[in-house]
Amino acid sequence: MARLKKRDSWGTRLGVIMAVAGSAVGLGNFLRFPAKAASNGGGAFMIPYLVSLLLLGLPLMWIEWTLGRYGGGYEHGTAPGIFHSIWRKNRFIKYFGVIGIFGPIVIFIYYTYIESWTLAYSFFSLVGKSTHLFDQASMQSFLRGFQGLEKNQYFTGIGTAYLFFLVTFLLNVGVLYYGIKGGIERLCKVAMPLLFISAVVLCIRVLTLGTPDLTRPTWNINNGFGFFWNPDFSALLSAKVWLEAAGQIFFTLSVGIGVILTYASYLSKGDDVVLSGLTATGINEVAEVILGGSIVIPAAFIFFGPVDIKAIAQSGVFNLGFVTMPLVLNKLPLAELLGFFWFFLLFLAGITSSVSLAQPAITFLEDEFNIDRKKAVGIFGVVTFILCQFPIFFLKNGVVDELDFWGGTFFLVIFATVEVILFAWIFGMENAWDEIHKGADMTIPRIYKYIIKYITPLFLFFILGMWLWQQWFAVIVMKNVSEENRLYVLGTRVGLLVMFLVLAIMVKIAWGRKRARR
Amino acid sequence: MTIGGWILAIFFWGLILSVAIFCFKKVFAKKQLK
Repeated sequence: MARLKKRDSWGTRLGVIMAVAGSAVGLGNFLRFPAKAASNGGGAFMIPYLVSLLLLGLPLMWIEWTLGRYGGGYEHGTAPGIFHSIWRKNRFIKYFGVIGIFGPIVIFIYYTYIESWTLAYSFFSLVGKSTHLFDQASMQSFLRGFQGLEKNQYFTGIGTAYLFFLVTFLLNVGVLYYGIKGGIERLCKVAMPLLFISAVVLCIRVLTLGTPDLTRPTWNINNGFGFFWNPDFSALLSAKVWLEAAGQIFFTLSVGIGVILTYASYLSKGDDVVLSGLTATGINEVAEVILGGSIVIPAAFIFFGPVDIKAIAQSGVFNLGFVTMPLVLNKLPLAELLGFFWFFLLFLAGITSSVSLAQPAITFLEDEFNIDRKKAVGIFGVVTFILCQFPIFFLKNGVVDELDFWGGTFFLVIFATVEVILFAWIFGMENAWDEIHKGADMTIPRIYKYIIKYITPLFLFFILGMWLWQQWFAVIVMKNVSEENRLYVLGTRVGLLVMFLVLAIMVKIAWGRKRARR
Repeated sequence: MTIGGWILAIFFWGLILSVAIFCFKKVFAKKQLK
């Protein structure tokens, strides 16, 4: 049976760039990046960050855009089909591609829940539910009550959080239901400018803070930026700092996940991937380094001072976003409005990323099983809704951290390594170079031919090697997991393995059907 | 902020902004996908 329906497509060039940038710009740009930079050498962190961007991030961005467009030409929008199109002689390569569907689903099932917190907090800010809290203990108690981790004067259960999760989940499914052009592209074309406006408003507010407490003249905006940018070059001698920078580049650009492959598969043959990839990267870096670096850390420095800020920067993303930043904003005039801007900014960053995480699974059902889009969204919605219950109800048992490690960290590096080897060594660098430049307005500097072939894979092997050397044993035996959480973490691992196997079996079935049709 | 901090901040802000502006100029100069 021949394929009957036409694949969806992007409406405009700007639309696809906004969608890829929307996928890349997430909570990490405004929370993870400033915390990582400030606690890993300040301005000096930016040197390994730039090196990683040039040797890892940009090459992978171009590789994924090109592989995606190439696979789309064969009506494959996800990694199993795209990898198979590149290396037809190898019947196992499509199973490596399963990571490109598995990873995004794993991230989606906890990310949507965290995204719903930002929607809830923007509502709480607007109605003044959280704006009367002025100390760390109360704000932490508010967060724990909201998450259902304790019953207190703010919340008596997880009900409110669950309600906002339902709203967020339905919003995601609603966007996906309308497809690439009618849903995702339309959302990103509105959300991305709104996100930038909100970030600029907050940046201006932080920049105009001056010295709010005249009894502490050193707690000022200049020193706030100094805490972020003043370089500690001794940090460059630490392998950990280089690994943190490389990890941040992976997170921030959404490379190694499989999302860009899928988005790019909806391009047509002559669409320029060189400029589009570079523009999406540029937008992401503006959001991360210029806006992300100018809000939370400088603002927290001004109100908490040079001693506490060090602990705050290392206190983790949730604490920074949901405890420290609201406390800072609560001390300012128009706290309700500023709090709304902050959390709504995070929500927009979150939803443009979460819809992208959902897309590979939906595209897989559409392309490889010939399922109608609306039905595919329905299947995805039901399955992920069930899976989302685990991070919601077992948050305190380390389930989110476990999902984040496998889906959002480990498999990213594995997947990127497979991609770059396939692209540069199996497809061949000469073919790859021609493929990248099809329809391109500008030429990538020739040095990238060698970077993509040698440096990027070596860099990835180095990251994997360092991980194996430093952490693998501790991770496998759950050394850093408390005794009472071990069963939950083990359960999560078994669940992930089952999920991976189910997807691999689906790939086998899909290819079996294709063979039978031929 | 120290001089080193200023130099790094201005360098990175300038680099990122100029790349983003260059890209957007090119994107808007080129025809839309369809």
